Amino acid sequence: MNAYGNILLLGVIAAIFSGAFLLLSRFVGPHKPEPVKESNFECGLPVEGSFLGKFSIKFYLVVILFLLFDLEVVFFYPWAVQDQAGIGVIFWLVEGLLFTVILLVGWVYVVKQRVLEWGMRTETTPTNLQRPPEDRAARAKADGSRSIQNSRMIP
Amino acid sequence: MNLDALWPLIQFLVPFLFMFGFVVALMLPTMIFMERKVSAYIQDRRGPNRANILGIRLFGMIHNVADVIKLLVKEDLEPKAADKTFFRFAPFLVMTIAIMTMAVIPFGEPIAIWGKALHLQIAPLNAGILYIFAISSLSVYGIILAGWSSGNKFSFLGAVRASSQMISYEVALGLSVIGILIAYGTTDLAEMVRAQGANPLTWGVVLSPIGFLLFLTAMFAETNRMPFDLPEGESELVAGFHLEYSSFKFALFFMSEYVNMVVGAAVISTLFFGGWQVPFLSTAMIKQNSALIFSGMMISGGVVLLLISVSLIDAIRRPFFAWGDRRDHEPKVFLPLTLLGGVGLLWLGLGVIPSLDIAKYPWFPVVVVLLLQITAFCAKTFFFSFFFIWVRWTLPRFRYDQVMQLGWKYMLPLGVANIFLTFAFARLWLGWLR
Repeated sequence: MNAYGNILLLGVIAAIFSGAFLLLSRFVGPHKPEPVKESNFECGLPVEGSFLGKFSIKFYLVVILFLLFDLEVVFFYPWAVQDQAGIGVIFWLVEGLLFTVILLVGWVYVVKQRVLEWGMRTETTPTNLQRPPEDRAARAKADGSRSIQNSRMIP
Repeated sequence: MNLDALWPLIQFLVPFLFMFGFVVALMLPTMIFMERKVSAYIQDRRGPNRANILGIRLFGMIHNVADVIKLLVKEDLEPKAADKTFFRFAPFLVMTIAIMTMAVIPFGEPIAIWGKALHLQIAPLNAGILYIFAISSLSVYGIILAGWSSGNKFSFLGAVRASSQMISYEVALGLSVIGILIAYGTTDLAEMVRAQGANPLTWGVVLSPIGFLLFLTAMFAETNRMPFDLPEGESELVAGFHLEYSSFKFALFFMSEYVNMVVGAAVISTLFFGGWQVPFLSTAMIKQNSALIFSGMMISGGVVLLLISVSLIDAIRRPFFAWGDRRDHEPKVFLPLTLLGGVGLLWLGLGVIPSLDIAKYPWFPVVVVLLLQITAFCAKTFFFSFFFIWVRWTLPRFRYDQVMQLGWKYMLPLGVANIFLTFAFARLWLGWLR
């Protein structure tokens, strides 16, 4: 049995360990379902709407960035453990620096595109630019009435 | 008995029993106990001290037993809106993965026994660090499945936050170790520990201090611990992805968090603090002076136990607080044990070992090496586990945009710079030391 066999065996034992606990809690504890118990917890209020609402597009961007950058990071590993003396330290270093420059160019582009700004509104947001600053009182009034109308939609 | 046929089983069972016992049976209850007791003392409280068995509280350790029983006999609720299959599968997946991560962590020098080398590592894998990253990042699946299958808005938001935070910090986590990979020239964790040597000046933390800080920070974010515990931010998301879980399904999430932390602490000590290396004592040196070192260990252990006895005598003579029940007699139960243990260890260290002819027992140095190295590994792991708790009760929670900006804007470029800084520094430093 090699190292991967040991890992497989460990995985099986870990699965039995956690599976046994799941089964145990199913059989040991009481089981008296009621409609209220089975409803979702929303701080004591009746559940409204679906949980699959809108959420920020930033999360998709984070996933895409992760795919790009993590792949680039993975390419560093074979380079890092390479035999430096075999190919010459200078060649090895230039190789790594070139790759780093490619990574950093992508990173600078992402930062310049403000993908990493997580604030609600930045000064370049179009809605903020179009809105005249002296209109603030009316806007607050409009926001207030809208929020009352929509309050049932907001969890 | 044919040893060759049984050998693979021994090679698996010995490290497995140690690692599983250490992480799940020893460190997991200790961590939960410490989480309560350390937080209590940081907040100037006394912490758990009521749960007892026949008056024995063990400083509040018995509270864990009460917890397990409570979680077992609680009703296991499953919301109607939940996707039952994935709802049950998620805690199972998270716990299985948490246990599987510890497969490649070495906790001692391989020992020569019956003409074979017994690796003190469940799976002596040459891809060590890659395996840890690969398996530990699978737990994102468990968390997003838990949040999504609950059918709850808070759970879903918590899961989305948790997954985006964990994958963001995985980039920094991956980048932070490349520096020391260059310095050690291997991805095998056992090789890395050997490359670090017994001298603390050649350990990873000296070669790559920035890498260590980045790794530590990323590890906090990966385990969803305090400065980065937005996924379960109570004030905003109630409990995040495990909001709808009760009974032992919740316990599995809870336990997996601590197992992840202990394994994370073990990985930190392996990568940056020399793993099982005892400071200033290489394996050859321990073997040469095994009797002296063993006596020293026994004497210091005996002195510590006697000091505990003195404090127990003080507690009996001048009780700080009287409960008025059997808990008052707890020090009287422990006093004979610590006195006997302390005197016994001193006798072993001062009387038995010096009068013994060590040359007659060839296994004695091997046992001393094993004991000392395992103690060093456990002590380092314990310290970093404690550090996780210490930080949790000291730092406030970050805002979400701060977490994401820290990960992407500061830790990523710092991690890239760290690669070349570590390369240059390690070459100069190791060249200068030799």
